[in-house]
Amino acid sequence: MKKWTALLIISLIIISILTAGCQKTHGLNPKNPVTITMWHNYGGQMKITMDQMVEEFNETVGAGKGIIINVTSISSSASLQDKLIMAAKGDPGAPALPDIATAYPKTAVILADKGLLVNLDEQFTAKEITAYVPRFIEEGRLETNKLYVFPTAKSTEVIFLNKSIFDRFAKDSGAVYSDLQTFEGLAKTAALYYKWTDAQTPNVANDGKTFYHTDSLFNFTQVGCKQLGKDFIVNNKPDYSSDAYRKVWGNYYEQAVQGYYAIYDGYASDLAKTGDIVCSTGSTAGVAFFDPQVTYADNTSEPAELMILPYPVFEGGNKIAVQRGSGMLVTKSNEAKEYAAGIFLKWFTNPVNNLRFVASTGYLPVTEEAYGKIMSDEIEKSQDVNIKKLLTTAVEMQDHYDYYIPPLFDGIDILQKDYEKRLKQVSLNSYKSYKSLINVKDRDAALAESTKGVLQAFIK
Amino acid sequence: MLHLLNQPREFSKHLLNRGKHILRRIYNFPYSDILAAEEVRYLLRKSIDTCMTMRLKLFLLLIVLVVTMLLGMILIFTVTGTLTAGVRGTQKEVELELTNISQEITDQYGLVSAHAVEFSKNLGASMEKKLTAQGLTSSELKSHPEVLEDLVAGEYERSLFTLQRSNCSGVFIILDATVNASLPNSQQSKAGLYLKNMEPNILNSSSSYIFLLRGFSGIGRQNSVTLHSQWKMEFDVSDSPYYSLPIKASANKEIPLSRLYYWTPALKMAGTTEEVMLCSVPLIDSRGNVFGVCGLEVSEMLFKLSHMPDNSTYKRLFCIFAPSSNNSLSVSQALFAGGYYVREFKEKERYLTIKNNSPFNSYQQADGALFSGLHKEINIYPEGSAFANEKWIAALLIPDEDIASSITKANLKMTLLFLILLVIGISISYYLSKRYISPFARSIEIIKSNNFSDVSKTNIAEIDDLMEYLSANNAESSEESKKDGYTEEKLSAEVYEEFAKNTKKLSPAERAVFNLYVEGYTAKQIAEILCLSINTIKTHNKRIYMKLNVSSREELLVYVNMLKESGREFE
Repeated sequence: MKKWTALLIISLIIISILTAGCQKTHGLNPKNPVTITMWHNYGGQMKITMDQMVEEFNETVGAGKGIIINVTSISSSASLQDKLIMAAKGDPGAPALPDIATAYPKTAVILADKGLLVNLDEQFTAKEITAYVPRFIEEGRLETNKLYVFPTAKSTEVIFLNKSIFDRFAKDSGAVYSDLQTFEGLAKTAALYYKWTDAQTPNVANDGKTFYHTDSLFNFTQVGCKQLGKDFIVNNKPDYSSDAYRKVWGNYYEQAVQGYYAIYDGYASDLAKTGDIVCSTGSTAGVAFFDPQVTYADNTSEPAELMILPYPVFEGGNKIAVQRGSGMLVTKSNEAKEYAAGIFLKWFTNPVNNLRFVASTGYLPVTEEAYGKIMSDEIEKSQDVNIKKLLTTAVEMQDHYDYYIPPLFDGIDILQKDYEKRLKQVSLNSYKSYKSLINVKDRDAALAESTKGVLQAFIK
Repeated sequence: MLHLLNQPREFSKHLLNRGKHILRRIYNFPYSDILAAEEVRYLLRKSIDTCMTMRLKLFLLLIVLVVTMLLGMILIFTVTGTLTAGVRGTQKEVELELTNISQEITDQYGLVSAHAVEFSKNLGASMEKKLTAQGLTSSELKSHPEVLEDLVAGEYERSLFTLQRSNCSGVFIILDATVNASLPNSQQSKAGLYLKNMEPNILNSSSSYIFLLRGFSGIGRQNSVTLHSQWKMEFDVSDSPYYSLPIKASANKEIPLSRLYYWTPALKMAGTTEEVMLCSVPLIDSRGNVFGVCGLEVSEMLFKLSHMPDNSTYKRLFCIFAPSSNNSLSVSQALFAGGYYVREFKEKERYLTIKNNSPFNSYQQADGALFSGLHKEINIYPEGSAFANEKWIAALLIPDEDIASSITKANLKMTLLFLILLVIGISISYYLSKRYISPFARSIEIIKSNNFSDVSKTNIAEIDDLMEYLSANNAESSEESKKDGYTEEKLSAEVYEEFAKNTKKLSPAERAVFNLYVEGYTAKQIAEILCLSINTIKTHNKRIYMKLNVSSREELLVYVNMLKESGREFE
C-alpha cells in the first residue's frame, strides 16, 4: 500500500512539474512555432519600418519563444476596418479574422460584441499597464471596462501646410502663419488664397483654388464644439442646437460653398499632391503620405516643403485636439496564440521599439517613458526633417492641449459616415448653386441665396 | 525441529538426512550415490544462500529476453528504414503540397496571362477606334498629348473590369507618349493608368480598395478612387523590362500577340515599395504599330495569400517562385509565401544553388547549405513564346535547422517509445517472475513447516506431484518413525556409527593417509609428508574409499566434515 502511495505522489509531482512548465510557456515551443497572422494599416513608406520590425521580432524574441508573425494584409485603415467587420460578420468572400489587427475602438466594439476579442488585461500585468499613457489605455477599454484595443501608436491632428506655396502666397498677399492658429484665421486665409489664385488667371473669372481640407469632418465638428465648450454628441445623438455647433458648421460650410475649403471624399494628402490645396488638418500619421513634391496637370512639379503646426482653435475656445490612432486588437484563438500576441504587443510597444516605429511613421509613442526624454533625444537624432517637425509640434501640443476622446457606442461608425456624407452633399449642392449665381450676382448675395435654409434643413 | 529453521546450515543437513533416508528406503539407492546426491544438493543450497535467488535469476532472464526483443526491433526498424520514415513521410507531404501549389501557380499565372492578352487585344482596338474618331492614328499619340487624359479615362471601366475578373492586384496601361514632352527626361516618362487593388483576396472587393498608383489625378477623382500614397502622374520607364521587352519582342511580326506577353521577375517599380510581378503585353494597332503596353500585376501580398503552404511538421515551410538558370534560383527576383520571413535573406542572397539530394534537395548559398526542400518547373509561357527560354521554378523550402530539429524530434519520440516499452517489459518481467516463483516459494514454505496437511493445488503438475508425493511420504515416514523408533538423531548416529566403524577397518598405512586427509592435506602433500609416491597414495585411496563405502575424496570429506561438525572424534 505504501508503495502505491509513494508511486502516486511521485506521479503527481511529475505531472505538476510538467504542467507548471506548460503554464509558463503557455504552449509555446521554439521548435514548433505558432504563426500569428497580422493585418495592419502601416502601408506606403511605413511598410518598410513595419516590415523591418516584424522581421526583427521574428528573428529575435519570436525565434526564442516560438512565434512567427505573418503579415497577411496591409491596407488603408478605412478598408482594414471594413474588412475586419466583414470577416467578423462572416460575409461571403471575406477572409478569416487575423490573430492581430490594427483597429479603431469603434471597430473593436463590433467585434467585442460578438465575443471575438481577447481581454488584453489578461496578457499584461497591472504594473505593465501603468507604463502606458493612461488616456491611451482608457481609450482601448470598451465594454465592461475590458482592454480590447491596445495602444501601439497613437496620433492627434495637426496642420500640414505646403510652406513652399504658402510663402509665395504670403509674400504677395500678406497672409501670416499666425492666422492659422484659429479656425477663423484659417477661413480668412483661405478666402485670401482663393482671391490670390483667382488673380493668377485674369482671363478666367472665379477660378480661385481651394486652400484647406480636413481629413475628418466628424472630428472637426466634435473637436470644434468641444473647444467652444459643448459636446456635439449628446446621449449618443448629434446635438445641432448649440451655438457652438452653428459656429463650427458655418466655418466649414460657408468656406466650402465659396470654394475656399475643399469638398472631397478622400484624404487631404491626395489633393496636396496635385497642389489643389495648401493646408489641411489630419492625423499626425498622415505625414508619410505627403509627397515631397507637387505635380501639376502638365506633369511639371515643384518641391513641396512641409510645415507642421498645432491644431487650430476656435476664437475664444479651449486648446483641444482629438486623440486618434488605431491600436491593436487580438482575436480569440487558443492560449498559445493569444499569449504569443501579447508578447508581440509588449515587444512592439516597449519604449525603444515604440519610438523607433514612431520616429519613422509620424505616430506618437504610447508609453510615459517614451514620451519623456527618449522622445526629445529621438527628435534630435531624427534624419527625417518632416518627422522632426511633427514630433516637435506633438510635444508642444502635449504641453498645451487637452485631448478629446470621441465617445464610443454602437452605431457611431454609421453616424460618422452619414454625417460626413450629408454635410459634403449639402455643401456640394450649395457650391454648385453659388458657382452659378456668382456669375449674375455679387458674392454676398450669391452666398446668401445659395445657403439659405440649408442649415435648418440639415439639422431637421 | 522448528529451531532448525533459524539455522540454514543445520536445516540443510536435516533435509539431507531426510532425503538420504527417503531415497535409500524407496529407491534402494546405493549409499555412495545417495551421498553424492546429497552433497550436490547441499552445495546447491549453499550456493542459494550466498548467491542470487531463483526469482532474481528468472527476472534477469526475462529482462535479457525483453532487451533482446527491443534490440531486434531497432535492428529491424533500421534495416527497413522505419527509423527515418518520419523524414521520408514529411517529404511525401511536402511533395504533395508542392504538386498542389505548383498547379495553383500554373493556373493563376495562366489565367492572368490569358486575361492580359485579351485586355491588350480589346484595349488596342478600342483606343485605335477612339483615335480614329478624332482623325488620329496610334503613332500620332506622341504629338497629341492633349488627347491622352480622355483616351485613358475612357478605358478606366475596362481596366477596372479586367482587374476584378482576373483576381489580380493591379492593372496598367502604359502609352508610348507623355503629356509634356518638353520636360527633362520626358523620353522615359509615359502616360497611362495603373490601378491597384489593395485587397485582392477579398472576392467582393469594393472600389474603396482600388487606388490610383499612376495616371491622371482627374481620373481618380472622377471615379472616387483615392490616389495611392506613392502616386505619380506618369510612369518612369527607364530600366523597366515590363515596358521595353514586350515592345522589343513585338518587332518579330510572326509571333502572335498571345505569344508576346512577358512576366517580369519580382521587382519594385520606380517610386514604389511593394514587390510585384507584372504580366506585360504590347499594345498593337491593326496596322501592327506598337503604341505601348498593358497588363496585370501579381503583388507579393497576393502571391503570399494565394500560395501559402500549410504544413503541420515544418511551420517555417515557405514557397518561392523564382526565375531559374544553371541549376540555381534567383532569390532577389522571387516572390515568397509562407511563415519564414525572408526579406533580409532575399536582400543578401542573389542566388541559391540547387543540389539534388534525398529525401530533400539542398538549396545552398556560396558558403554552405541553407535550405532543404523540393522544387518543380512551372511553364508560364506557351510553346512559341518570345520568352519561352525563361525558366521559372516553384520550390517549397525549409530552413535546414528545422529538418534537423524534426529528425531529433522524431528520434526522441522513438527513443521515448522504446523506453516505455522497456519499462513495460521490466514491469511484466517483475510480475511474471514473482508469479511464476510463488508456487515454488509456497511449496518450500510448506516443506519448511513440514505441514503437508495445508497443501493446496498449484495447478503446476510437477509441483503438485512432488507435494503429493512428499505429503504421502511424510505421513508414511512419520508412521514408520514412530513404529521403528527412528529419530533424526538416531538416523544420524547410525550413519556416523557406520562410517566411524568402517574407519577401524583401515590398515595403519591407510589410516595414516586418511588422518592426513582429515587434517586437510591434499594427495600430493600427503605423498610428500609420508615420503610415498603419488601412485602409492592413489592405491591407498582406492582401498580407503572401498572400506569406507565412498566413491570420491569429496564424498569422504563430506563425511569427515559432518562428523567433525557433530563433534565426533575419530578413534
